[in-house]
Amino acid sequence: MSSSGYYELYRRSTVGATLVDALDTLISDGRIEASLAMRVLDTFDRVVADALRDKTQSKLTFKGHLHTYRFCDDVWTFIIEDCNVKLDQTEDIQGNTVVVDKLRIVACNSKKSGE
Amino acid sequence: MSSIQGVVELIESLYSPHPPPNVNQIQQQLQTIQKSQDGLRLANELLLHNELSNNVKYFGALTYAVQLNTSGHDDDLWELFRGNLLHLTSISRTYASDPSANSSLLVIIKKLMSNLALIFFKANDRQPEESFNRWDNPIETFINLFSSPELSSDKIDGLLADMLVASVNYQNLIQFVESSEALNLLILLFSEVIVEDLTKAQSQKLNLSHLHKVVHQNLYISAMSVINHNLEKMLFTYDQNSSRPTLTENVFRCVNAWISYTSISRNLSEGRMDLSETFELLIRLMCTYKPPQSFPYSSTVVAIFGDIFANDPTLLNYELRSSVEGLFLGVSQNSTSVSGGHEWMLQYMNYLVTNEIYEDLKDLALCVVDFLQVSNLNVCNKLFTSVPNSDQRNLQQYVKVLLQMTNFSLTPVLEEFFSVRMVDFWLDLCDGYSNLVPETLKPETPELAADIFGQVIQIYLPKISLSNKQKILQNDEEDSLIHEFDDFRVAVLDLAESAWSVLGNDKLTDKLIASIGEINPSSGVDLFQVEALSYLLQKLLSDMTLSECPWMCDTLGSSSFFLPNILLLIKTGCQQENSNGSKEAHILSTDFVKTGTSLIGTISAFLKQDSQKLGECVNTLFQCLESCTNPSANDSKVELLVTKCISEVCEMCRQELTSYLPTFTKVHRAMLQRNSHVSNFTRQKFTRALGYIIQSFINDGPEPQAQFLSQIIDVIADGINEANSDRDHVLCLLTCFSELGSAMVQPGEPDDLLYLSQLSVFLNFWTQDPLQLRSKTSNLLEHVMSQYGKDPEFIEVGCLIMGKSLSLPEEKPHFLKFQMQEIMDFMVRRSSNCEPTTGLPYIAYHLEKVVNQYKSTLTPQDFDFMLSEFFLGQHGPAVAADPDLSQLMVNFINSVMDTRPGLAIHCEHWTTFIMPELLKLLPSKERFTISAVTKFWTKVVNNKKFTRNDEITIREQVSSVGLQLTQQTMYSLFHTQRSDLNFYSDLLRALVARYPLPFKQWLMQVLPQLCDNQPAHHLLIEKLFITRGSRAAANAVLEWWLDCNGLPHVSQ
Repeated sequence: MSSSGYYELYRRSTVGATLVDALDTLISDGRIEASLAMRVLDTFDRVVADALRDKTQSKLTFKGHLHTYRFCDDVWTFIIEDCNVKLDQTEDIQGNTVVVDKLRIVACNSKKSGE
Repeated sequence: MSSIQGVVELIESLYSPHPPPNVNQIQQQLQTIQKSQDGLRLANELLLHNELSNNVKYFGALTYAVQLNTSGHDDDLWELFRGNLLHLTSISRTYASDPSANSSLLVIIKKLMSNLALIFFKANDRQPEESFNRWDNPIETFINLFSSPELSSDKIDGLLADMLVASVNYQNLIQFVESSEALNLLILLFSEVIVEDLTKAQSQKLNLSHLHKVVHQNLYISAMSVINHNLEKMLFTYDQNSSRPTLTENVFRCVNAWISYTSISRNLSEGRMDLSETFELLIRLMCTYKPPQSFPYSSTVVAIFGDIFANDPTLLNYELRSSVEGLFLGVSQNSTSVSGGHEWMLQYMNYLVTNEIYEDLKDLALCVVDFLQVSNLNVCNKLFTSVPNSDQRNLQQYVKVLLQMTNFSLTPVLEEFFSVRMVDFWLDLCDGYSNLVPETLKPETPELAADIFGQVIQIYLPKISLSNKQKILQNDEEDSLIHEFDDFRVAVLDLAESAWSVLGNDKLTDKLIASIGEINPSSGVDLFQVEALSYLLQKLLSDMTLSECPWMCDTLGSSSFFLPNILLLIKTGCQQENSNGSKEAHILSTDFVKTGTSLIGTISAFLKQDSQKLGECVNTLFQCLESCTNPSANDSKVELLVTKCISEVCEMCRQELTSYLPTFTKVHRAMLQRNSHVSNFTRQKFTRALGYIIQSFINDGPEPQAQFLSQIIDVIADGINEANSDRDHVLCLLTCFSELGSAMVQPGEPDDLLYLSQLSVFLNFWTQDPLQLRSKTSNLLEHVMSQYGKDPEFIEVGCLIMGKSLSLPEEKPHFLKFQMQEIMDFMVRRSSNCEPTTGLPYIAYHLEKVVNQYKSTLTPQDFDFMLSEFFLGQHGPAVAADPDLSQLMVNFINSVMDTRPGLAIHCEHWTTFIMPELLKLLPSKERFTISAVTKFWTKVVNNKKFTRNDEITIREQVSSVGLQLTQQTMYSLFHTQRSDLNFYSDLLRALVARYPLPFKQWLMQVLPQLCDNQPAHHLLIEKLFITRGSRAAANAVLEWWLDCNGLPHVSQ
């Protein structure tokens, strides 16, 4: 977790990685300072976390065989094998189930540390 | 330096409403001056002269900010402090002399305050002895300076040094803010700016504990005094204040800033800043009732508390939370006293409802439920476990109030949000109950829990009724509330699922079934009620496997009106869809049909047991399908839902429906006619449904089954021949053929003894294919392809039909089991005629399936043939030019490397084309190509499927191209973007693990040629070999990449 109280894990999402690439280019071209890039990323961490909390309703359910689970440093990890993932609220009328051999779930505490 | 006048002109043109074309140049010129050594003097000059415009003055304040961020010396800091503070005081005086005329100065004042805040942080982010000077409280310094007479510049330094440590007592502080509203506002603003900037600064610096301590010991005391003084004034002198909304807004903004700061800093500093007095005043303000404005502060304070309860509820201490609980609920879970303050809540809710202020009512609901969530676990423990000291009677009264609140009498989402937000509360309470250790439960707990959650479900049933959606549709012009209502219904489904773990089938599922079954369809059915019950029931039943729950099927069977009511729901939906064209009717009828058909699909295992009910159901579904296939309908969703339901029922009840085959075949023939009104989706799905039934029609051996198949193929072929020029219809008919082929695949492992006993007969029959169905099929396909061979959609469906049995095991019979040669010939013909960018991907997909199916019989020569025929021959130039096609080819090679790598390694193209060309593709700019190519090389370097012979060949080849491979990889890595690094890192890890010694030598040769950063190269090599190919190697690669590209090490 960053000092601002938000996780940095969404930087590895497609939108996050693309933002990091763009910031790298801007720094390399001398168009922004590195400190500004870091502020942008801090803001990104906060905004993504807030948006995912406040503006999303999507849910998915899954069934499978729990292969591994662990809880370390406030992070849960589950590995589920032969997993059937059902996406709710999709308009896909022809079926909305995805079958995967292995599903890895990494879950962090949404509350700030110390609460 | 340019003259001040010149700079002023540049600034004016920069901020002009119509900036000149060279605005970027002006901006750069000004930025250069701001950063230069003359920046400080410029800032001072711009702020000094009253005649200059506010834009120019603001630029002066901005220049101070630039200097502050670029300067690193303590001497400069003092100069910056001096300049900012003096100008702030001077401009504040001008502002205070006539606030309404000078209100535009506030922007400059705010910027100067922000600069001073930064100086304050810099002065205190170290231990005091290292600091440029001690500066404890900017507000006191400002008050002291403001109150002093203006001094000549030679005496200023001495005075400022004294003022840094001079304090202001409470009396003088209050006297200062009382002296004028403008000064009051300035003090509030300064305090707000400092804590807001401090909150932001917290995200960039790790250790600000000393600064927090200084704030706690000094600024906090002054700021709280001023804030609380203002809040008290608002309480007691409301009428006089009513004309001053700006000050009120400022007070609340300042309060919010302090709450955010306190919340962030309390885990990071010693001591704890207590805001209890402020909260007490806020609570009193919240409850203030002043006619004629009624509740002047309630909505603002509710929003403030809402934020606190949502983010950091323990900012309020236990006593304050109890007091809020009393206000909100009129009863506290911890005490028997009933709070008189609840009267306010009732009046406020009444006021909001009467005046239809639903937004504020929503805020109140959010605040109350977020507050309740804080003590959810506590309520759960006290209600259900045998914890001592809990007053049960009071607690049950508490739950009663919560139930009443959930049952708020208005329309959910449209008018009230209590029921919507309370879903989360009840869900958490339910999950909390389920997680309790059984030994801690009281004897009466299961009954109590069942009673509470039973009531909750009863409350939510009418709340999720589509009659409420109808009201929303009638009121809402946009769709946002509709989506919110749909989300609410989904949330209630989750609640019902959790409640099931408490209530079980007997108190929930059975009751829902009985409720639907009790409604007599002949005496006017409330379909909204049936829909709501069915909606929840479907969710509960979908989590069960009905075929393994005979008791549940018995319950469904014993409920006489159950199935008629569900069918009535679907029928009514379909009829309404046709009769009324309004948007409202369309949405509601679609929902009716969706719920009804989903439930029928879910209970199809029950229908399987009762042929009469199955027949009734199938008849109704067909009637509905007929009624809703209206060619003028603007949305075919209802038709799709009914078709999907028919398909599900046919799939589950395939054996029970074999007697319907002659009728279904007739319906199917009519459906496939070109002039039929059904959609293409229905044609395809129904063909599949029919296929399911034919698949289980095995009692009389393969011949009758083949006859039915032949009939359907004939119908499809006739349809194609009749409408040869209608491209969409021909494509639809071919897709129907493919669906038929899919339906004929036996699902799962066969357990039907009759089927197993006839397996060899069927296998033999289809090998001989006496009715020549395969030859009919290939002739039909060739006929169609002669006309549409370039069309990618036809190539796709053609490949799907020819490759239908490619994933089937040898022992499973299928009427489309073509020989490999037949499939290959078909694909070669399609390839020779297709447009590579659109057609080749479908062919390549099936090529992978062919390799996978026939891997044991294929030879490297076959692989050579595939590569030449599909990628290098006719399509070679297109594949080389199009990154998507390059990726397609590499992925095909990768699939072979996964399946049987020997096929690729020992083919002729391996050394002449694959290795050299894929080496060249490593520095690609396209992410997908990089992904495919690095995967290929990783599989070459490290592959568990290699035979010993493969391994020997590969070792030799990698050793000879190793230097080149390392060179290309590191060159590509150096020039790629950060998000693509991991692709190359994986390859490097494989090389480190499999070729440690030579790879080190290769790296030492290659890295210095890339860039001159020997320490980074040395570190990379060391780290790579210490991590020995583990995941940590990716970090080493990232660090090297950042160092060599001159980028900062941002944590990832």
